[in-house]
Amino acid sequence: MLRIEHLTKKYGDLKAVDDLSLEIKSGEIYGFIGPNGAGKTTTLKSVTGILDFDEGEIFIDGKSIKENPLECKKIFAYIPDNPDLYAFMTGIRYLNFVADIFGVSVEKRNEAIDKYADIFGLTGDLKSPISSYSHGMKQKLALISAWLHSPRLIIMDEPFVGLDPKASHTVKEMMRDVCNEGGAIFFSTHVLEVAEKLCDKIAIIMNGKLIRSGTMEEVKGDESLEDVFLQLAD
Amino acid sequence: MIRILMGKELSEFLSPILVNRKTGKPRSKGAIAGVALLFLLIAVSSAASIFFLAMFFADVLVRVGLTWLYFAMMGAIALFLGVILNVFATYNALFVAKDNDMLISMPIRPSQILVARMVSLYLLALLITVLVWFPALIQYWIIAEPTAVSVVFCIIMTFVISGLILVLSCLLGWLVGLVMSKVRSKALITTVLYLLLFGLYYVIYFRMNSILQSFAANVGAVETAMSGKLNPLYIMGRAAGGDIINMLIFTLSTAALLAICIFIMSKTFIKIATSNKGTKRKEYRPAKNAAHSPSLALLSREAKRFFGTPLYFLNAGLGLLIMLFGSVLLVIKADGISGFFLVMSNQIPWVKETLSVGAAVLVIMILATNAVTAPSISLEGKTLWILKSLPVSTRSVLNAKIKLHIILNYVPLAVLLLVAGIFLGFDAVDMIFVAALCAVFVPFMALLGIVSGLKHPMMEWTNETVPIKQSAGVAICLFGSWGIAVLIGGLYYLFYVVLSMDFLTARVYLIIWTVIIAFFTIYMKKWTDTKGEKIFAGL
Repeated sequence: MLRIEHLTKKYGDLKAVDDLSLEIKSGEIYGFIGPNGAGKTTTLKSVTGILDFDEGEIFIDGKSIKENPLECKKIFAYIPDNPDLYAFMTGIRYLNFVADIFGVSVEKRNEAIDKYADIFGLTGDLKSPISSYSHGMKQKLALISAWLHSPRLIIMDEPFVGLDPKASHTVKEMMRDVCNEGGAIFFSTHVLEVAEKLCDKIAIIMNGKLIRSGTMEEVKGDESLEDVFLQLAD
Repeated sequence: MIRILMGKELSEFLSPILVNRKTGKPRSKGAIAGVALLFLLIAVSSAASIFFLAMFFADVLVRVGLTWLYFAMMGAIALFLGVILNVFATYNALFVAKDNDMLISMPIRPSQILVARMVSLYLLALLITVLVWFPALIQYWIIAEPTAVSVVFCIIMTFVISGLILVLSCLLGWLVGLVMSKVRSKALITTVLYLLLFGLYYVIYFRMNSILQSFAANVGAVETAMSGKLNPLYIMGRAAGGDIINMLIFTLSTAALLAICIFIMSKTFIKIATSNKGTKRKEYRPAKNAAHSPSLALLSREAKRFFGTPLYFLNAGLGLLIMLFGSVLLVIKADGISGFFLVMSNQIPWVKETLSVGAAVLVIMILATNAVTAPSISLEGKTLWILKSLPVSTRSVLNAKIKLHIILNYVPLAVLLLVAGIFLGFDAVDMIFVAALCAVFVPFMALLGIVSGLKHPMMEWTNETVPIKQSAGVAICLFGSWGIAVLIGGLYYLFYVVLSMDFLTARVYLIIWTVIIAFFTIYMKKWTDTKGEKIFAGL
C-alpha cells in the first residue's frame, strides 16, 4: 500500500530524514515512533506530498507521489498533529468541501457524516463555525473528514492528542476497521502503550535514521516497547 | 514588570521596520533605511493634504488674530483622524491580543498589561498627530512669526494631543469591547462598526468643501460657540497659542482622563478579554447537503473566506462597495454631475475629448483598491496542509482565487458602467471602449495580486491583520495598480493636452492600453501556470 524507498529530506545542511525505507502492506497498522525532532512529521509530510523531498521515492498503491500526486492523494487521507482547519467555515461546510473535492455522492456523504458525527458526539456542533471549536472538536472533525471518502490508506500524525478517552477508543476501533477492510494505517505517536497494543508493525526513527522496524515482536522481543525505546534513545 | 512588557510591545511595534517578516531575520541597515524611507514618503504625502487644509484655516483665522481657533480646529482634526483610525487597532491591541491568556495567567496586574499595550498605541497616536499637527504648525509659523515660547508650547501640545487621542480611542475601544463581549456575532458587529466609521469618514471627506465654505462664512458664530472657558477645544487652542494656564489645565486634564481610563478598563479587562458567548446552535439537517464539482467547491471556499472574514472583506472589498454606492449616487445626482461636466467641457477645451479616459482612470482607481487575490495566498497560512493533502491541482486552487476576484468585480463594475452610460448620457461607443479597458483590468488586478502574493508570501502569522494589511504582496498590488491608473491618466494628459498630439484620440488611447493590459494579464497567467505553481507547491 505504501512503500518508502531511501527517503532523504534536508533542511539546509541538516538531514531531517536520512535514507529511510519502509513498506506498509494492506491490513497493517504501522506505528511510527521517535523522540521530538526525530523526523516523524517530516516523513509523514513527505509521504503525503506536502513536503518535497531531496532523494528517494515514495509509492502509494504502486504510484509515485512525485509523478502522480493527485492519483496518490485520492487514495489516502492525512490528519496532521495540529489540525488547523478553516476557521471561517462551519463544521458541516468543511465536511462538504472535502466531500466535493473527493467527489463523494450526497447519499454516501450523508451516511458517513451521520455515522461518524454521531460516534464522536459532534452532530450538534456541525452547524457551528470551526472558530468556536475546541482542539478536540477540531481533531474529531479532521478525523470525520478523513474517513468521509473511505480512503484505503490513512496517515496520521499524533492522532490521539486532544481526544477524550472515549473518542480515542473509537478512533482505535475505526483504525482496526479500515485494516480489516483491506486498508492500512500509518501513524506517529508518543504514546508507547497505545502503539504496543494497537500496531501490527512498528518503526523507530532517531535523528532522521530508521533505527529499528518490523513486527511488534521483532522490535521489542520480550521487553516492553517503552524499555526498548528508552534503551535506543540512550 | 511594566518595563519588560513595554519592551515586548515596542519590539512588536518596530518589527515591521526592523525585521523581515518573510524570513523572520533582522533587516540589514540598508533595508531598514529603505523601509523607513517608504514610511516617510507615505507620511509626507499624507501630511501634504493636511498642509493645504491648514492653509485654508490659517488664511481665515490666523490672519485675523483668531490663533486659538486655528489651533482648536487643527487639533480637532487631529483628534478626529486619530480616534477614527485608532479605535479598532485599540480594541484589537488591548483586548484580543494573542498573548492574553498567557499574561492573565501570570502574576501581572491588568493595569500593567494595559499600560504596556497603551505605549505602542500612544506611538501610533503620536504618528497621526505629527502628520496633522506639524503641517498646521509649519503653516502657522509661515504666517505668524512665532516666539520661542509658542514653538515650545506647540511641540508640547503634540504629545498632549496624542495622549488625548489615546484616551478617546481607548474609551471607544473599551466600549467596542463591552459590546463584543455581549454579542455572539462578532464578525457582523465588526463589519457594521467598520462601515459606520468609514461612512462617517467619507461623508466628512466628500462634504469637506461645503463644510469649509460654511465655516468661512460663519467664523464669528463658531468663535462665540467655542469660546466658553470650559470648552476643551477652546482650552486646547489657547494652550497651543502660548497660554500657560490653559496649557496646564489641558495637560493635567488629559493626564487625569488617562488615569481614569486605565482604572475603568483594568476593572473590566479580564471580563472583556476572556469573554466567549459561544455560538447559537443550529440544527444540522443532512438533507441540505449537496454535491458540487471540485472547482466550485474551491471557489465557494474562497468566497466563504472573503465574506466570512470582516477584515479581509473590508480591506479588499471596499472598492466593490464604492462602485455600488457610486452607482446609486450617480442615479440620484445625475443632473448635477452631467451639468458639472457640461460646464467643465465649455470652460476647458480638452475636457470633452479626454472625458472617457478620465472616466476609465477613475473606475480603474476604484478597481485597484480591490486587492482580493493578493492576501489570499498568505491567508492560507497554517491551513495550507489541507489543500496540499487533497487531490486538487495547484492550478485549480489559484484559478479559484482569480475567478472569485473576477466575479466579485464584474457585477458592480457592470452596474456602474451601465448607470454611468444611461444616466450621465455618455456616448455609447465611448462607454464600450471604457468598459473594455476596465473589463481587462479586472483579471489583470487578480493576477497581479496572485503574482505579488506568491512572490511575497507570509504564511507564519497569528493575526489576520498581517497578511491582509501589512504584507508586501498587498502593498505592491495596491500601489502598483494605482500607479498604472495614474500612468494611464498622466500620459494622456501629457500627449493630448501638453504635447497636443490630436491624432491620439481617447478611443485609440483606450484601445492601446486595453491591449497593453491584456498582454501583461496573459503574461502573468502564463507565469502563474508555470513558476507560480511551483512557488505555491513549495510554500
